[in-house]
Amino acid sequence: MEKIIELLTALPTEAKDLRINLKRVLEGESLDSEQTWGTALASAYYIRHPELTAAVLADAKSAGVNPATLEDARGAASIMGMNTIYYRFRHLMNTEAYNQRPANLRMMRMQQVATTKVNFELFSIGPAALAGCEMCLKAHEAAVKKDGMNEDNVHDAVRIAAILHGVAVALDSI
Amino acid sequence: MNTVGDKFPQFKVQACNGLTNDDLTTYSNESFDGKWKVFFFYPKDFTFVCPTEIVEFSKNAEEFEDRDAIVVGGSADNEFCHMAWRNSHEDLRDLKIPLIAAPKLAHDLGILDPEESVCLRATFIVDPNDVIQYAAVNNLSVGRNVKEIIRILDAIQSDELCPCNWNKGDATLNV
Repeated sequence: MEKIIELLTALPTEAKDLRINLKRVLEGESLDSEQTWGTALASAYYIRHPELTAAVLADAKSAGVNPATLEDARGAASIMGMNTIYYRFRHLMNTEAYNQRPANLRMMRMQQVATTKVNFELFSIGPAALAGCEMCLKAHEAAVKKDGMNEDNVHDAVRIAAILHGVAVALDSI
Repeated sequence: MNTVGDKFPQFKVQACNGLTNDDLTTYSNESFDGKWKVFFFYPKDFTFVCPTEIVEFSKNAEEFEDRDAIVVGGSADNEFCHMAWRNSHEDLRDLKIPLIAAPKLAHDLGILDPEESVCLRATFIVDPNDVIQYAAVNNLSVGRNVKEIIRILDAIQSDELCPCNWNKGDATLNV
């Protein structure tokens, strides 16, 4: 966690809470190491703070995270970058005219996962929470629970995304 | 003729991938495991309509590759005939797609012209599980529009795989 700690030390004292939260959450609670780092990385990509992303990526690699997990985190973040915009539009409009139209968007990557479907779905939870779309979040939450995850897992994934978002804001406020 | 929903027949065919004997190879269903496949058949080597559409498919090889799809051309001619044709026709020398010798496969697909025993101008899009997702056949004198094949492939592949697509009341959400 060397690179992230380096970043965190640069944070102002006002952001001390975030520092403590991030260290704690990355040490892993209900999620295993692959799931924790995959979630963190997908969220970081979605937040688009280059310094933060670089630190999370470097630390995930030194934590020995499987390259397939890194790939899926990137895949989930980019697909969610598209889908949270498109489906949030559909969910917000909520009219037959759009609900009935085929999206006509490729999203094959969701089927061709490098790790497991459930981990790929888990990595999508952070971005769904960050996008702030109620229905996307409910749908992805239901998807991971259907495949055997529980509320603790989802809760930790969202906490990781939330803390990283706070850290990105704090970094930009220095 | 085989159609949408049918399993693509088992095949083992000789194929021509270049201009010399070293470029001959064998393909079977397993050769394209996990890929989307676009098979297009044409009546005869050494005719006029055929090279234009083969060249057009070849020019778009990267478009298909981006879509995880392999493009394979075929007729009832044998692999040496394909090779001779490619050597004799300027436009066919640099083809990026294989031409297969497919009399049996064409028979199994039901696309042989009963009079002449040549392949009809048939096109199949086959999914990674070897199930046919698109089947069409043109009159022998009508060439294919490759852009249209790409459009169809895009439409077939544009599944709404995201859970966000679930509607209220869908079974998946009610678990």
